[in-house]
Amino acid sequence: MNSSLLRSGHGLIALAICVACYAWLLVLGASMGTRGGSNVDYVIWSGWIATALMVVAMLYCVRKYMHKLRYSPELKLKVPVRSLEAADAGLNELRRRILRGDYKSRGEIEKAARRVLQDEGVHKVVEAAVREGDVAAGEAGFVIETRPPEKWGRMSKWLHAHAYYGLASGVIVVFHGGFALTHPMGILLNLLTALVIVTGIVGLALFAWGPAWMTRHEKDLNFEESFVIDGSLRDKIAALLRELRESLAGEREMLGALEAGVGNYQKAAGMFAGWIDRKRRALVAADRVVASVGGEAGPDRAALADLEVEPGLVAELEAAITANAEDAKKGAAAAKKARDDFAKRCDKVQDCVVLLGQRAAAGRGLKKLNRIKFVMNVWRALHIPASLALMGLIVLHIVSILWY
Amino acid sequence: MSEEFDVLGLIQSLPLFAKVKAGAMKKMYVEPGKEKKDESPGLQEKHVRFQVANPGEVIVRQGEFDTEFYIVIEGIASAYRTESDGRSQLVATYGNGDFFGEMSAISHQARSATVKADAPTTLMRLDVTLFQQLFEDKASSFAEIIDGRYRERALAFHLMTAPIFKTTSKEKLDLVARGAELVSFEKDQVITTEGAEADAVYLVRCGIVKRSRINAVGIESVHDYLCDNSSFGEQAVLDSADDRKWRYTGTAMSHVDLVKVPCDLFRKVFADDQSKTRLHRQVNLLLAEEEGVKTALSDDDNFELLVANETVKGTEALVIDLKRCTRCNACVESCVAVHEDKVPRLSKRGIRDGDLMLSSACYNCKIPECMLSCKFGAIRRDKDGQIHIIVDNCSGCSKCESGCPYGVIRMAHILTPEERRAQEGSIWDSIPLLNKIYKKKAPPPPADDGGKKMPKAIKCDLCAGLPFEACVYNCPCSAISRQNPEALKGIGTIKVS
Repeated sequence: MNSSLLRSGHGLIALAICVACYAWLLVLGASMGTRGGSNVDYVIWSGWIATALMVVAMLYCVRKYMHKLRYSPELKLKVPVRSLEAADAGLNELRRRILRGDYKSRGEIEKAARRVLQDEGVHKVVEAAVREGDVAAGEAGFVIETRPPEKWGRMSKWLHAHAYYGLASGVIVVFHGGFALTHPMGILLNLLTALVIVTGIVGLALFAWGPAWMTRHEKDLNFEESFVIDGSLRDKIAALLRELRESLAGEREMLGALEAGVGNYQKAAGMFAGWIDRKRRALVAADRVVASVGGEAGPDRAALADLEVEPGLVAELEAAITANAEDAKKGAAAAKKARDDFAKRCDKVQDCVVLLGQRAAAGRGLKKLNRIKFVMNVWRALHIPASLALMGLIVLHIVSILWY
Repeated sequence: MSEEFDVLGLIQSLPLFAKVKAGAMKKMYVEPGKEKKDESPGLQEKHVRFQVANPGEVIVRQGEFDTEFYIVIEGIASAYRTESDGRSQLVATYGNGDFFGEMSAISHQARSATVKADAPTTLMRLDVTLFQQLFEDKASSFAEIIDGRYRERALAFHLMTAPIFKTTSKEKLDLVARGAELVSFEKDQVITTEGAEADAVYLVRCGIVKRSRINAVGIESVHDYLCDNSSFGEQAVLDSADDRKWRYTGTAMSHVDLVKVPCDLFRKVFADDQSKTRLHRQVNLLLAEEEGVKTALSDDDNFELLVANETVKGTEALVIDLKRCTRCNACVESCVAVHEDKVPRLSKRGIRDGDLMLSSACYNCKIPECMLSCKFGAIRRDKDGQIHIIVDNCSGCSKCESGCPYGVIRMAHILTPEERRAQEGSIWDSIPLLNKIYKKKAPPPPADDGGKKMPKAIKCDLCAGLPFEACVYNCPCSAISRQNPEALKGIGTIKVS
């Protein structure tokens, strides 16, 4: 279980805000569901607090997409590696002077280190921290360490803010409106808030237990690899089917079995066994025809008759022989090409059946992973649109209150 | 350098290059009329550069990772070493034709001294790739001179770092240095065989030596990996034939340069009873310590796992805690966002142990095999010890990809800005749900370049120049962190913060 979300400063702040709002409600002598005893001040302030908390919760998404879509101002801070090297060289010189005893206090060193970073123009991407050296580890005097400032804070902290302030806003919405389901706006706002909060809590549960759940069900391949391989097999099958649609135009039953996909693999495999057997026999007959072309007795008509079940192949062989009637060598080569093309088409059908089999086998392992993915998608499909709709309604609610 | 400057004449006049093969010389200088279609005559700036240092200017700095080799063309420079007590002492002065930096170029370790120009000094700088090529040709004057200078300047100092010589006097060390042999082994070559009589003490100059032994059930069990400045075979100096046997089989994991101190030399130098007793005491202490280490390591199955996967070689590892990772892919998306070419460097594959995964992000190895395998100067280590790929120099040969023991380097087609813009589409394409409605136009097919466009090597660059490491910074679950592999010896018990 990932319990990191349970240890959060933002959680404490959100709790304090909720407790303060509830305490105010108690001071007013109002009970839950009474809209703060109809105290206008309480209703207005609790409304603004809930809105502010929702906005803060939404900032997580803004921060996430700003970075993903490359609009984050932090990306503009990038400095050339050459400047970083120069700053590092400057800090090394400073370290040498510390060892020489040129600096006595931590403050002096911090100031000098900051100056080095500023001189090279890298102070926004690197910050220097000074600590006392660990004598046991052979470090004398003060030690300068550099690290990225990460000024905006890690996304994990933003997620804490998102979860706890979002949750707190839901609680305060109840204080604010008393969960009144008396008019359409109230019903919509309360239901959407409840939906966002409930899906948020489900999200928290998935966040805490989901990773362990997924890890338990991953076998040789991890979660992403399983889907990548499945996707790759699907694409390969689709590409083969595109090619086969033309060549199998006269064999709709076989084509239909292949197009039915993984779910129908057993049927396709069974049908393929009989189909390939027929094709192999036809290939043996075609070999006889090819061998006879150019011979004194002429093309083996008996073999061509055996090929009756493959009219397409017969037509191709006949065309090759007729077109090169005067040049036996060319005729033999053309007949062989027609035979080989036929064999290649058969191989492609075989490849397609093999790939379907592979995908069916991989799919058995994917079943549980798919279920996890489905749960994640359902959660996301509910939480995100509900949140967006809620924000829209809140704006409408505020505007209408101010207007009327 | 001016156009009239006779670079070839200058290179040939240096004794270092007297017997260098024409192929290696071609790497430095292309004579007019002998250039290939894609070459221009003159100095190969990829491998050789000139630098003019003003008086007082620092050329190389102690402690920094910088593997270039320097030759003083004109001027004077001095080397100073800062000791742990902060005292700085002059160790050498270089004049015309002298050189420095060979120790870092051989071992890829940090500079052991700071070199400053005393007067206006012109220097020729050879990158590590060219240096390695010249040095590996043991028949040339280059390797001979470098080895000679190593013996003269650094061997006694190097010997002093070996535990066996901790209590040995300076005079005796000089005698050992004079009699020691410099030997090399290629990858997978066996250096010592378990059970055979130990005939010498070895010090690792550069490369990695694997020590293993056959266990009770007949399976090879790795004991440890020895890197630069490690020593082994101390039992060779003991008197009893039983004690003198090799306890482990030593195998070269890469090209390895060793200092071999034969036991006959020990007998000669440590002939008197007093020094012999002291030496034996030191050896017994070392061997006892080694046995102790062995017991501790063999108890730790996780360490075995790391050793088997060569993880202990690296200096930094990217650890994913699978108990926390929700597979939201934010790490890869943020990696894409910070790279202009939109090719993610992060790969969520790697060594897995229980709930932890050591992702295949660059470990910035102490001995980077990718850098050694690159013959085009496209992989360099910066002064902070980090490995960078110079994409412009990359020929797409993919030797680094196969050289990297962690599978970190991948070959990818880097899009031009125009191709990238065409693929990016509009802002609607990147917004979830909306991108389903406003479907992206299919990107134009890549222009047929007749196979000229080669894939380039890419790897994690630790988001160099940015105020964060994107994957770690943008993980909403705190599932990714950077850890020192040394701290992962008990991999099952580490906490990811």
